[in-house]
Amino acid sequence: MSPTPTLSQPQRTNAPTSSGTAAVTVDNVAKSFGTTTVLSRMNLRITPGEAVGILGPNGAGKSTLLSLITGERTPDAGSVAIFGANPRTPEARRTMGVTPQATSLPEVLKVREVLDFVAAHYPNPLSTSELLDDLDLTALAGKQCGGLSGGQKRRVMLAVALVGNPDMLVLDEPSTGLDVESRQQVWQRIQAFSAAGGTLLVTSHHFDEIERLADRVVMLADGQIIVDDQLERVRTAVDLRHVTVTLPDTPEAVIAALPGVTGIQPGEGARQVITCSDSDAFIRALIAEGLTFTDLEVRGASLEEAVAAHTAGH
Amino acid sequence: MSTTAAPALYLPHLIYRTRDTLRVPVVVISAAVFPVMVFAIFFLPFMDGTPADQQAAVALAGVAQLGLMGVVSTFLFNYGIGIAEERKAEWSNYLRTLPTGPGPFFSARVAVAVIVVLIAVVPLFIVAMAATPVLEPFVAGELGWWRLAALIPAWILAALPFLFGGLLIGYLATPKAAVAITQIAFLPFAAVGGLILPVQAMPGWLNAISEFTPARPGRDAVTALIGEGSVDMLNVVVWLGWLVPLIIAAVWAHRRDEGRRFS
Repeated sequence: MSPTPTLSQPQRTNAPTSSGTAAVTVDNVAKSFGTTTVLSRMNLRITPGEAVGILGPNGAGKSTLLSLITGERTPDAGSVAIFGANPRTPEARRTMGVTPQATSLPEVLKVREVLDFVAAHYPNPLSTSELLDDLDLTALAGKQCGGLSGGQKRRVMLAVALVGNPDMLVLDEPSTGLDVESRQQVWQRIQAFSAAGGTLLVTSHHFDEIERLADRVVMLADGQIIVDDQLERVRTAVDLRHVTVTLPDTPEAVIAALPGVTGIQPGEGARQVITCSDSDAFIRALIAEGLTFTDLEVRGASLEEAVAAHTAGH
Repeated sequence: MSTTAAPALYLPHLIYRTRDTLRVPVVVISAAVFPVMVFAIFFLPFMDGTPADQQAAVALAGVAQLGLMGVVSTFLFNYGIGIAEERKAEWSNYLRTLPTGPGPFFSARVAVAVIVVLIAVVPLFIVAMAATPVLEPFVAGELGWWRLAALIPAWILAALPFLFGGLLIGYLATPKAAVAITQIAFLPFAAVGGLILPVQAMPGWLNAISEFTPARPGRDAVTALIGEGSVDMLNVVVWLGWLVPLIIAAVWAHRRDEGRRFS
């Protein structure tokens, strides 16, 4: 496994270089299946180079939104544009690398053959061998896809999205079913793509994955966007802080009575994790009361907590 | 930026589909084995009892009708079952997001169908040539060699109703239902069309019914091609009468499927 991905990509020339062209423009889009309205009045704009994480419960419309972006489906109302072009056209699709939604690959084809086949559709594809090496799949290159484990298939599917050397990656739950080491590897490779200037659109059920890969969080619920903001702002917007500290001489009851405290959890060793609605008030109280403390650490809400707080308001 | 990268995609698609189709053993084996097996069981044992001067004609008739049977079964099973399975696979949904128009997909499918047809008829030819005097009329100049070559496009044309019938089944049925339906559809149509047992062996009433079934015009056509009998207007009318509705139905089923799954 190579410690850092080898990016021998030539300059990407797939997308128009007009600085005003958004990577993705979803304009007032509606989509229904039968009598069920899945998306309504959806607006989303992604600029080139952004890394967007899409969250939401099952049935919120994430997969439908993605299928409109990849051109698999057409909206009932409104329009979708990828770098200014219709996502149903080869021109637009040459700018995108997509992971298939479910874990599915052609059973009788070998890994290398699948990648070569997909790469043939793109003007500047990556080298199949190097990409396989980056994702630790070289040993499986000659194996038929039907013989791969679920986690191996998942990694091959990421390779399928990357091999075209696209300007934008559209990844639907990229690390489902992967063990810890594979997830790290996959995340590293995706981050390398973003660092090189690629546009990233990723859906996930795992908050740690979104936190790792995305700068911007879009949350869907019932076919509507309820959160669309930079990751940091989403976290800090919630009045929730975790103060991790060692308070050797202070009993719990006393801590709990301090201003701004909403909960206390044991931390590592002698440390305690104190949940605060107002961490500044709590810290001022510690100092004012003259309580002995060491190793104080303040952390904002996790993405999961922030999102839970946002959706609780809906 | 060019939108015509398409010409370079026909070969990768052909390679992909060839691998995808031919690496499934049952596809190749059933295509290759079935016509040869029927030839060996139904024709070869009777060659001994046939007068020497008729043996070539009988063998040739066997090759013509069994070759057609092979193509009919290839079309029906490959498209009937193959497409039903593809509709169920997520991978084929993903293929639809690739940067290409439908051209490479379509032509790859056609090319692979021709390859499988060849797999179905070449062993038959080889066995017939080895075990019977089937080539005599050609060697003696009574029949032109072009007739043998013309058999292949003739088989394909004659079997077209079954290609579209297969497509119709593939777009409407689940994979398991498709397996059952194509099996049930194949044998009666092939038998009553004179593709397995010769029409000469049919009682009058069965022969009359046979004239209106989809395989019979093709059987008459390829048999005429190798020098026996002829094709009449009834054949043409019956062939079109099955083909045209089946084309319309297959296109409708394809659009309905696309509409339900991809609109």
